[in-house]
Amino acid sequence: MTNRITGIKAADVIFVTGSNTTEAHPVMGMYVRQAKAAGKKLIVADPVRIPLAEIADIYLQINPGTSVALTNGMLNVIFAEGLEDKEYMKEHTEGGDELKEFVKQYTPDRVAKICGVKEEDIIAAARMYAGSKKSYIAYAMGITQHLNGTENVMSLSNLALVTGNLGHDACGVNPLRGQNNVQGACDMGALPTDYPAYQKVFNPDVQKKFEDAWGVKLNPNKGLPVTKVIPAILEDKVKLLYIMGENPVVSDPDTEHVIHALKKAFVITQDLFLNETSEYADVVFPSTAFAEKDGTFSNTERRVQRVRKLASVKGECKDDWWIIMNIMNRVGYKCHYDKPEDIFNELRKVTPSYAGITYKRIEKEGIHWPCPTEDHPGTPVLHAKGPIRNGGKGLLKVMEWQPSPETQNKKEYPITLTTCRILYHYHTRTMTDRTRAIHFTAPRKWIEINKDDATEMRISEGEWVEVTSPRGSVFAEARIVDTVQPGVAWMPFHYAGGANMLSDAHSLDPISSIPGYKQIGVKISKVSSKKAKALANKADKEEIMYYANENPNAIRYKEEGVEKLLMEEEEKLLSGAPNLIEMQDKEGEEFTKSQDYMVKEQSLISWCRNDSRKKARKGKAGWLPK
Amino acid sequence: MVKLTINGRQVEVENGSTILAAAKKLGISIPTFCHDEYDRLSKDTCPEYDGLGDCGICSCEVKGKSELVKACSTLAESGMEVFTESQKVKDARKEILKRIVSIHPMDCVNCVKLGACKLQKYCELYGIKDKEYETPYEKRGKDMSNRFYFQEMDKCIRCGKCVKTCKELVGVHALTTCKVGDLTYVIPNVSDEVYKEKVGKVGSSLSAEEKLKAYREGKIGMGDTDCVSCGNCVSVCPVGALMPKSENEFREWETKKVVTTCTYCGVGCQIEYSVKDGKIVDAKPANGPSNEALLCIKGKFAYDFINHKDRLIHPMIRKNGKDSPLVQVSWDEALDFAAKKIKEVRDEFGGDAVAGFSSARTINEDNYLFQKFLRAAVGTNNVDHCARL
Repeated sequence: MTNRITGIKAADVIFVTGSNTTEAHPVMGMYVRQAKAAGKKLIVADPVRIPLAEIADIYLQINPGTSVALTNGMLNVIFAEGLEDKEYMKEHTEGGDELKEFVKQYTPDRVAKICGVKEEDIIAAARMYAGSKKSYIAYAMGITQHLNGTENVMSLSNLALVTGNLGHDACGVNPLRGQNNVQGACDMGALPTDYPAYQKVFNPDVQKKFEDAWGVKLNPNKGLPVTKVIPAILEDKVKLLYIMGENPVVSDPDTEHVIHALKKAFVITQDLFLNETSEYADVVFPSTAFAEKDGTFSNTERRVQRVRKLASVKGECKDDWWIIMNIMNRVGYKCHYDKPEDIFNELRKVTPSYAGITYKRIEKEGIHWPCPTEDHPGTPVLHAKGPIRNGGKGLLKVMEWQPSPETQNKKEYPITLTTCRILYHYHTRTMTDRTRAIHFTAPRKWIEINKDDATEMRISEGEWVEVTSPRGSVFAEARIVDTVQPGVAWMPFHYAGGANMLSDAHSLDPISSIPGYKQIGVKISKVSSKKAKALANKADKEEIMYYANENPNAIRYKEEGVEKLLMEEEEKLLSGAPNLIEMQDKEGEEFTKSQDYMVKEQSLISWCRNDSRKKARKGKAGWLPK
Repeated sequence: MVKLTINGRQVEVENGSTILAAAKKLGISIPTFCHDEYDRLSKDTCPEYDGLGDCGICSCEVKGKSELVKACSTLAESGMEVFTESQKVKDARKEILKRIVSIHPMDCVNCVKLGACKLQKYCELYGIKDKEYETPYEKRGKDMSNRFYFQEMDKCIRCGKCVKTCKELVGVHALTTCKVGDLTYVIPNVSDEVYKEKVGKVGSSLSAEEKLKAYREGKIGMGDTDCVSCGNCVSVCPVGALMPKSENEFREWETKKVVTTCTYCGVGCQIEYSVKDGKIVDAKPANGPSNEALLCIKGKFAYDFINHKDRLIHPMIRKNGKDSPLVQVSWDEALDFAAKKIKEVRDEFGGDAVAGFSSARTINEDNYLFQKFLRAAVGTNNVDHCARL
């Protein structure tokens, strides 16, 4: 982020695009709501009518993948009406004339057709955004996870530069980063082309610096990004994959393809749990959770904050750094650290932006990098003296909008599927699903389909559908909504065997190698009633497995009366659920428990399911009947 | 700057500071119920807030004034002489506590809040042992309809912090009030349609009595609202009226508090965990610069994975390829096994035949060492993490 998180509250205009802020960054979502209540303006552009759209001054329900066209259209209006910040552009940008000339073809009426929104809304959004020097852009993966994701980001940067919304508080271009320490992992050089602090591996001077610091010869060739490692394994170029705290079987595109690769390579994983990926691992190292370690995280506003050990270490678990250190020594690179702070002090020496940060300084409150010296206060706002680029000139780039090839085969794959995150789960669910209440609130994948599409396909609420893309197909329960336009559907990203069975691992953004998770061409079809029954049954069995794996006396809510309520509810359901038992008999019961117990569990589970489905439909938490 | 004396001690504070803030500067604690310690809540007097807050427990004596003043809202003035624990103040606080206790169940021993309850603390401080009189009020029992927390309205002391937090800070407005007789009750803010479905009449046509009745009878509950289960109302509740549903059994005095950074999204909220015997038993928002003492559902409630029985606790390897089972081995054996293979691949096919996925979930130090391991010890730049996914 170029600016502070809380800067969003000080902004006059907030432009949220490609971010379901209240679900994925809930505390920031609260700030947006606070700002709105304080009379600030809110523009939302998103193909899904997210909760923030309900309170937005202008909501643009754009077609998936049309962000570049939208921003070009807004720029067209800004230039046509002379709303640009001429002084800032003259002093701090280059390429302004070309851009101005180029966006002339993106007239509001043309853009309205591309994006599927009203012309006057585009004009109003442009006026509103350009009308303030405190316009704050907040975006997330709805912008980046496209085959033209980089261009989407650059077009937002154009918008900020042209209107001078950069370099002071309460404005800027602010990517809301997903993981707790994704910012830090990038800063630390966990990137195929970058040493710590984005120093390029192919720059000989940088290479020399690190060779001196680390005392070895280093490889000058660019490495492979995550999305290209998997194909490289299949091409026999990569033979060994070391995975620390990731779950690529669920998170990477095209699950089948990932599994093929993991079966082929020697795989070492380091994790808290046996997850979908460790099924294919040759070595599994147990590591400590965040609460069991000391260290630092860098949040999305570049603030380096302390992580403190507070819980006792389980079993033989070891800190990740300890494991890596021991591997390093065993493969012939001698090193020794006693504690994370030793590593931090070493990395400060080679990471200029972290050089002035010490554990002591961030004991009370974190510091924003860049912080080059120990007396530097940190940098909450980037580009304060003009864009950090040659001579303080931000580059305005001309960006042509192009439709994604995924959406071109309308005949075979008429629906554009987009993936979303939900409030309750986190990434691949390895952590959140182990909180019982969360599990029962969102136990399994589903797909949200527009009501008109559903009528046409004769799909009703809660019915099982088959979703097919050229990569494969998945089954999911349908939820019929009016929050997406016809021709658009969305699935949660989190579930194994879900949306990533459908996504494409081969066509990637040419610059960033990001997969196009937000536009997947699919077809949706009804499944036969027999198949649907079998699917429902399988899903219920999974739920039973979840119960069986839990502590047997952990009906979680120990308060008096609740267990009784659950029992009553079970009994009620029992009377209406004989067909479930029948189905189970037919399928051949593999569980050893008594039939009676099974039935009870079964009905409890269906209660949980119905309840959560009802909840999700209404967007409201489930009600335990009294 | 203004200079004043509190309990005979001089203090200098900025203009516009309250007596409460001045006392805090001196380390003198003044009891509060409805005052938000981070000063985030409005002093709005809309009808919804009628009968909430304004508890008066922070009243202090100021020399020369016949009436007691409220420390939370009275501004410090130059030359002011404040007494926070004079007999007059103590008597007034006793009366307030007696009134609150008269509409509060006295089952402290069974209450999960025991030890962390402000009401209990002040009763102890001012010698209130039991109810002196009883004020009749409408009892509800526990509303268990939210999966993550429960509401026990009977324990509510009407400080209004939950209602204001939900409306003003979270922006969801899942709690509201209704005034029946002299008493204000905090009830779920249920939409017209839900009232229609559950009670048979739209919400706007219902009287306060009818709404309270619907809630008391369990026809409506927190589960029928737009609640996002962020638990901020739970965190601000000074008593046991809003409590997390938790199987952790602990008492406040058994825990120690540690502040750390949340492990979920990129906002980097600061969380104060309560830890008992090395196990997290509760979470509360700390006043971090990016979260301003707010949390979401995951930060507040989703920490069970740490002690989950599925946690890996031993190193494991497959000794004979992918089809063989994962077997538990010693650390030395596992590390040797992995390192041997890395060396083999590196030496035979070159460093670029090895790739590593680092983690956006773990600390900077781990990430630094991981990329150093691949670059310096293996000789490849094939290192990345899930930033794109």
